[in-house]
Amino acid sequence: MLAAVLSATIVGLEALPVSVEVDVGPGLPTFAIVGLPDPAVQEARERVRSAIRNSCYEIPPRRTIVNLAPGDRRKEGPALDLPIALAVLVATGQLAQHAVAGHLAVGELGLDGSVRSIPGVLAVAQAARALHARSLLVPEANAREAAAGEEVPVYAIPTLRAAVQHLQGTHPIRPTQGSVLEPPPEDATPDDLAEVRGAGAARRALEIAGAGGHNLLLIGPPGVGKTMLARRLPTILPRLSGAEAVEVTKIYSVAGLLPAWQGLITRRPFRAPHHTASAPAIVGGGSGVRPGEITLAHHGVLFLDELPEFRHDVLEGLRQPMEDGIVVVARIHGTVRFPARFSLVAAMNPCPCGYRGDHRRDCTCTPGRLQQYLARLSGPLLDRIDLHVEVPRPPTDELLSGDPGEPSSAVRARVTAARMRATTRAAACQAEGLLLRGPQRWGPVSAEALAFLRAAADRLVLAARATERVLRVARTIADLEDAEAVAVRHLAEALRYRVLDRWAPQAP
Amino acid sequence: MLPYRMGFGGAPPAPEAPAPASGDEVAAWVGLSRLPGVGPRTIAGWVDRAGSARAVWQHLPAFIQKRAEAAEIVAAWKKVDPAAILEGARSLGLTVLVPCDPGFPSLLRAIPDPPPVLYVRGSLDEAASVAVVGSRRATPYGLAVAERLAFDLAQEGVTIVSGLARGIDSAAHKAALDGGGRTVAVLGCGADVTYPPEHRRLAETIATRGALVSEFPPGTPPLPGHFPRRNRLISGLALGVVVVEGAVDSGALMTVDYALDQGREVFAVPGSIFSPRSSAPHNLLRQGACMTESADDILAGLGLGSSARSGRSGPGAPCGVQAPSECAEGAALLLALLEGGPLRLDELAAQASLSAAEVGALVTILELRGLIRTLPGQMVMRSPAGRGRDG
Repeated sequence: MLAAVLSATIVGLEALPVSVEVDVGPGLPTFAIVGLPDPAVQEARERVRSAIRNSCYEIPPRRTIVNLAPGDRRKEGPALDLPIALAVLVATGQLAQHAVAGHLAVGELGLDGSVRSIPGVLAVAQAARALHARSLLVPEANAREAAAGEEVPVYAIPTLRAAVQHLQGTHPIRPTQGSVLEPPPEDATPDDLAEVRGAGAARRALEIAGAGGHNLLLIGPPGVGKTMLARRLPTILPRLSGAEAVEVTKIYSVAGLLPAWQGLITRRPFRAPHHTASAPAIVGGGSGVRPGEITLAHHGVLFLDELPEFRHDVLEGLRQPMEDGIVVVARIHGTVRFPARFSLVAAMNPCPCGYRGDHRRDCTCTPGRLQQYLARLSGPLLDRIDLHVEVPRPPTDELLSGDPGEPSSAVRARVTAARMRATTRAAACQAEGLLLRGPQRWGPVSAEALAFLRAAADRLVLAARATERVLRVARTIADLEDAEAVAVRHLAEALRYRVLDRWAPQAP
Repeated sequence: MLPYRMGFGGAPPAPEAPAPASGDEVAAWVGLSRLPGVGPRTIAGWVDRAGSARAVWQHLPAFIQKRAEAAEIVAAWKKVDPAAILEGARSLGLTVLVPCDPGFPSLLRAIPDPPPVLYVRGSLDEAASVAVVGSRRATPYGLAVAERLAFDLAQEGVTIVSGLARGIDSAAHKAALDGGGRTVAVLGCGADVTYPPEHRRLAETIATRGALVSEFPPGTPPLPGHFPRRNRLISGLALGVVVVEGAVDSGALMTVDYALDQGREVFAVPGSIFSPRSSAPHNLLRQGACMTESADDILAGLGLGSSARSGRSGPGAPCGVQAPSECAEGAALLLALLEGGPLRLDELAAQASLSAAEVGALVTILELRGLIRTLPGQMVMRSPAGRGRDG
């Protein structure tokens, strides 16, 4: 007898619908799975057989063929265990075909028939809606996540036996309530900008980075709080919208990083990969084509501490995603696109020994070594970092007795307002059909400010691209101030954040 | 531009300048300077006895027969080709001076161990000169002091002598050039070699507005042993030595020892009692060095007097950037605060009661106008050229 159950497998970030067909017929007792299964799917054979037996159902000793359609796409992971088991039960007459028709099932089986959590459930839920599935059967631990997208009715399945009884209608399970797609409440965060004392210039740069989506490089000796500052950037960015939260949750779910029982992720992600990380780990890829750190930092912050220590190919690999907000990973089995719209915060020591400009310890670096160190940063990457700011060591008494800084919530209000202004201005320009060129591209600039910029670029020998960056940062500063046109003071402040352009080799 | 000539100061009177040295004589001095184990004092003694370097060179074995390493010296004497060294130096554009040359600095001729040969890139003159020495790893305070003193002295027409090293040395050279004056760099390597390498551009400038001086032949690498010998020339070329910053074991103290041997005046600039870099100048002050707060103290200590400061004509700071009217008040406030010495950006903001944004903007504008400078660690200081003007 022939049976078919709907399921899905994860390709990249998306769920690919899979039809699980089972045919049980005469012949030598075998159990074969075809349709490009990977080893984890192959092993489903053993799990499914034990789970069915231990759930008090039977596997008759006949020839059993499992086909996973479409047959040309690779199927990965143990998520197909549950649909295979259901299809086998249908094919052997223990469950009616109409009971499973239109339901989409995913889940890994234990030998005792329990259903275990799997990655990528949110993506599966989206696929279920696209297929107009009647309902979605998922492992209990993934139910909140699946329901978060409010795609289709979601049932939390504890065991294979419970699934069968639910589908037969003998012991129906109540659908899991979805969380409403309002702006989700943010988790209580232990990090707040109020804990950062001193570091006025760095705090200001953080605010500008947040308001304009600029990338930021913090330069300072070890232990002055560069990581602490970077960790607080997510707390001053606008809250995740509902749609953004779903995107982020989907990514974490596919990567298998979503904790069980978790609904939507509501906090902006913060990722801090170590500098020994490989290019596939950062950019994405590997044999299973998993999302890399830059995708895990989507809508959040990617923090690269010790920037010059990162491998050259890793840093080069960041350039295209930083420009496009998307990364394309090409593999033999096809091309996968991962979203990667992140804010980059990088940190580095001011010199190889770390103590240049430190009032507590002397720097032991020769200028030659310093030049070598700075040369490790590729020019094209630096070009994409708008803000470089020094974080000097604060005096100890400032750390101990200084007043607490401004809290994140106050900064976030300004950042959100500035982003609104930028969006409104861009929309207005588009509505008027203006295709702006030249320095006025990002909004009006006063004549005095233009003259100032020209003189400053001459004086500091700024490249065209660097000048453009200065102008964009100045625009963000003006937005923070709610100023219509960019004025001299905005440009002058923006020029402060070009530290590396000024560290000329001839400095005494 | 050069109101002071030699002889006003406390330096010993120079011997009479001899007639220009003939080619053979110069070659003989060059040859003598290349003999192993024979120092400047010995050579000076021999030349005194024989009457000319050429005579010593021709009859060298007679001078050294009592010495233990005579064989070695004779071997070198036979091998050295003074004419080739001389030719090489001249082809590099270097001037070769020997003590009997009229162009040889008279101050240097008077020290107990004058260099037998001086290789010069650029030109030397007899203007009053002061050496500024100190730590290679200077603090922002030390750099500010060196720059201020060198700049002011240069504006008074005093030549600044130093060693082209990192830190205080190069700050003094640069400030002297900024002040429109001349500066002399004494090297521990050949005059055609630049060490440290990042001062190449500075060295080129000095060659046009002063001189790079060395007693080592062209191509000599900067070996550690060369620098103590170089220090005696730094003090020897100057009427006085100003010590800005240095630790207890600083090379600057070696220069001071030479200065005392040579009868030069020693000046020391006090620093913070918390900084280990202050120990050398403070020890010197304790021992009786001239307390120095300004260029006037140095001019007075050397008997050069202080000139009226009106009508100073240093080169203006490059000033293509106009200060917008909106910033004038804040800029003036910052400059006033920085009169007290370098400050960190955060301290500056706190003392001026301005936000990080406002201070950032003002500092950039002042920096572009050449009135202040920023150093690593967000230290902000007034540039010497910027003093006496407001924002």
